[in-house]
Amino acid sequence: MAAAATAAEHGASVLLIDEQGTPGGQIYRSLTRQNLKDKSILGPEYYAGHALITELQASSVEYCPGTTVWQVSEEREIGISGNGAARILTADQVIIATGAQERPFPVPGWTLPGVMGAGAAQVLLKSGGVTVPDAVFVGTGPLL
Amino acid sequence: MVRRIETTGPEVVFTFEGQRIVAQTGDSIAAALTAAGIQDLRDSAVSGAARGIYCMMGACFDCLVEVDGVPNRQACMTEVRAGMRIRRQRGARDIHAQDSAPMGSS
Repeated sequence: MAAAATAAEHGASVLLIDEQGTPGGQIYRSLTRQNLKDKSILGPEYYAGHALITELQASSVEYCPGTTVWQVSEEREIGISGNGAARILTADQVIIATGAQERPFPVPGWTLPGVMGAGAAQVLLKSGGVTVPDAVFVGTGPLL
Repeated sequence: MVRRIETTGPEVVFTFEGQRIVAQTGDSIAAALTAAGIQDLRDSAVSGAARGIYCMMGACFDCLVEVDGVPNRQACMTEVRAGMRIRRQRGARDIHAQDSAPMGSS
């Protein structure tokens, strides 16, 4: 979001393609429609993301939510898919901002319904206040 | 046991396997079903074993469901809408059947 807004500020024509439905990535996920009554649950660091999103929305960046990039060719042809249709775009410059992802390791039972990544539990909390009070956490890493 | 922390959003009603589910507007299908205590979303096309949400961010494809007759929709990446008819994805989708099915929005 910062890269898109900054590029636009310096005169670039910017299209931001986001797999999620609203801006914020994973860290500030669902911030623009966050409806948890108790703001202390996600804390001030989460709500601080409003500044980044406001900067993006005030910029000339064209925001394209709910859209997946499935290819970037050597000619910088970008294959995207959204709203049930695929198309090819071209760009002079491409910034790839995939973020991080969890590295789950297989253990017996890891595919059972009810077993999920810690990141998944966090998504449930941020995007709808869904929690599992008696959950058991297994493993290592910053999310735990 | 799943619990939803108090939120302020308006409600939206849909069905899962014919069962009426009340969710919050803005929920993904996966979050709405999890909040309703439903974990088993599909069968593995290989072993037939039950599968549910795993990554919740569109990477693992373990939460595939059928939405309004369209198979292989990612429950975690699809926002729930009023009146949606959602069913478990049973095994592999039928590619030929999808040729004539309406495309949904993503």
